[in-house]
Amino acid sequence: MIDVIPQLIVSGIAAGSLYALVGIGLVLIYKATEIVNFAQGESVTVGAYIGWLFITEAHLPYLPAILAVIVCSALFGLIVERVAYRPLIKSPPFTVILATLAVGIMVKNIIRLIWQDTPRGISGSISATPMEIWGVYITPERIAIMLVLAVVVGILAVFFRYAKLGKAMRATAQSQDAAALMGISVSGIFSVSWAMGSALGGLAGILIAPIVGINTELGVVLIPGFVAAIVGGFSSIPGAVVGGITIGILENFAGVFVSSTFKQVISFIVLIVVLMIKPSGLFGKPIRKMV
Amino acid sequence: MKIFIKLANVFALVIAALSTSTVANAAEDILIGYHGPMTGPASWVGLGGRDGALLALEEINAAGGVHGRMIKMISYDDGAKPSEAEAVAKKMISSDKVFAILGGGVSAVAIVVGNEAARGKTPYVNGSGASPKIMDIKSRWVFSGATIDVRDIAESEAAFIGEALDVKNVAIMSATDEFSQVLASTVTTLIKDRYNIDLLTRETYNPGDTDFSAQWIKIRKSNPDLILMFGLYVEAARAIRQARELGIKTLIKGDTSMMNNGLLTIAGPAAEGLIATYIPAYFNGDPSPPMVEFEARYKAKYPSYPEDRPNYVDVFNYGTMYALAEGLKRAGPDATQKDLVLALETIEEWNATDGWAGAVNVIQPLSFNQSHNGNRRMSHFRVVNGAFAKITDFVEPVPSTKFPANETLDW
Repeated sequence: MIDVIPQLIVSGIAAGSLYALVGIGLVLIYKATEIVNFAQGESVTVGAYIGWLFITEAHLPYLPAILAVIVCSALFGLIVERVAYRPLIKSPPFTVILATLAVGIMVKNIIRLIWQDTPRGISGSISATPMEIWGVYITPERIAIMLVLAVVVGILAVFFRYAKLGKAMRATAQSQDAAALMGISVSGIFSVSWAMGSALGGLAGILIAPIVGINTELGVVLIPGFVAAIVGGFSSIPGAVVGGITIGILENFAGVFVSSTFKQVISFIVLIVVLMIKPSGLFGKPIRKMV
Repeated sequence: MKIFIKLANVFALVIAALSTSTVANAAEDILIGYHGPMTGPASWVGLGGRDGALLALEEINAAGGVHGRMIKMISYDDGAKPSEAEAVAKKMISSDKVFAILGGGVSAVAIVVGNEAARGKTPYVNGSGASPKIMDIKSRWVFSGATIDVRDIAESEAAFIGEALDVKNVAIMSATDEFSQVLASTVTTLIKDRYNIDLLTRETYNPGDTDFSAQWIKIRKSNPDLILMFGLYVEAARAIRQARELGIKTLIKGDTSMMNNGLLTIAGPAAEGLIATYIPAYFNGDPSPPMVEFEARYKAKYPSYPEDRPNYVDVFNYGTMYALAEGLKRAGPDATQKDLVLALETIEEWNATDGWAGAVNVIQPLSFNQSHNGNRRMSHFRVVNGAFAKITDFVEPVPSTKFPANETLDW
């Protein structure tokens, strides 16, 4: 079985890249707002459905459809933030977290009302024919997802380091009160964070849609994405990437060397172990609050 | 004295209520209960079954109903969860007081509703569940319509694998649901006992899963002659696509669920060569006149549905609803629920068009005159150039499973 290890790692990175994209979306929102967005899975679903609409109804090619999905998903995030979360801005974080749960359920059911749960499919323009490199199989489609992840991480790194808005978001993440005193519009930063998180979810949705089809249950990728974010530290973008890829690889090893049933639980075992040994996650820093 | 009059009135109301629960009132509509998953990963099963049944109902009522009475259907989402199905079944029987129940649920749920129907003495016609445990309820109140029992599916699958395919060993990739697990185990036993075909590895996945790489890498390593897949088509389509991504070129043989155009949409070219088992007489995209007519009627009623609908569950419950209407017709204008059971038991080699000129004959002929298992014919199809093509005729498996005779079932 040793000879399958390279394939396990490559396939694990491919699956983990998607978890990482979902995880980054969660981290972006949490960093700015201290809110865990339980509707992030539905951002993935919304992105997939928007992509399906652009491709099948507007007859847009796949690649332009990706850009359209990013824009529309960001708008969706902005609208949801204004309608559902902004009125709760003074409420305890727990209230807003519950609101995200409610939004997720509502979004899923609105989609059901419009299109029911019948699965849909779209074909991406990137090849799904596998290439064999030293006995390891990978498709250009999967490589594209890994590249997209790398590009997203790169753009975010530059954005947070050099862009004025990125710096403002970092300042808000450190202290909302201090950021407000410095003239930063904290509510504006919240809006941008929700838009970016939602756009990333939508991006994950349109990328996964040609591979797994589209239905209202696509949001299940929230679970490995959530675990990836926690393992990584929940406030660290590189942490979410490492967490996602680690989960993807470990799932494969557990599935092959233990059993396919164990594959389903390994991510939660990792989660518990990480929280026991390093509660702040692999890349997170312990937060001390004065009370 | 007044208290006695009040008590007498209450008693009369109770008697009236009890009467309407078992005797169809000629002045009222006939209420049929329907259950199936309308949300979640298996929702296409429940939605398809509901929509097929509603199309049949519309036609039946447009033709004057049954003995001048309209049939109405109340639908419930069971979420493919036995616990929810139990509550739904109890509500239909005790609260809605349905005259009969049409099942559009997955196997695990059909078992629960079947048991509740047997306890509540309400006729239950299961339209899509295939687990042996449904017929094993052994109740006079429980029927299986256009679908086919897992034991017969396994017989047919085993004969096809052993006789039509030149294989010495297989690997199994199956979902963790009741139907898939029972079918996988039964087929494994039959092909080993009859054809000495070995099982190299058996892998599982959960409904809703999106990544199957670990399972496929293990199967690829075992290098089987044939891969047997058991599970609902959405996950199966994802898995088949991923198998080809991982360089697996082995022939894949799917079960009855995979004969679905939705699978072709999601799996794309990866589905080429797939062999699937099929039950209804006609299939989605079939150029034969009955299916063309059925699809035209379906698209007229549901214009916004995707190309892969109607699927086989639409077809199953379109035909099964007509069978239920045929039973109601044979039971007479003032039938009780027991009369309906007895009337259904007279159905023999019945086609949906027999006695229903407006129907389209898209299911296999049904017979309930010997056992409550209505259908046992099935066939095999292969994906050729992106479409399903028939490779064997629809026949009963040999040997067929022995189902208990009607008179041996419990009331």
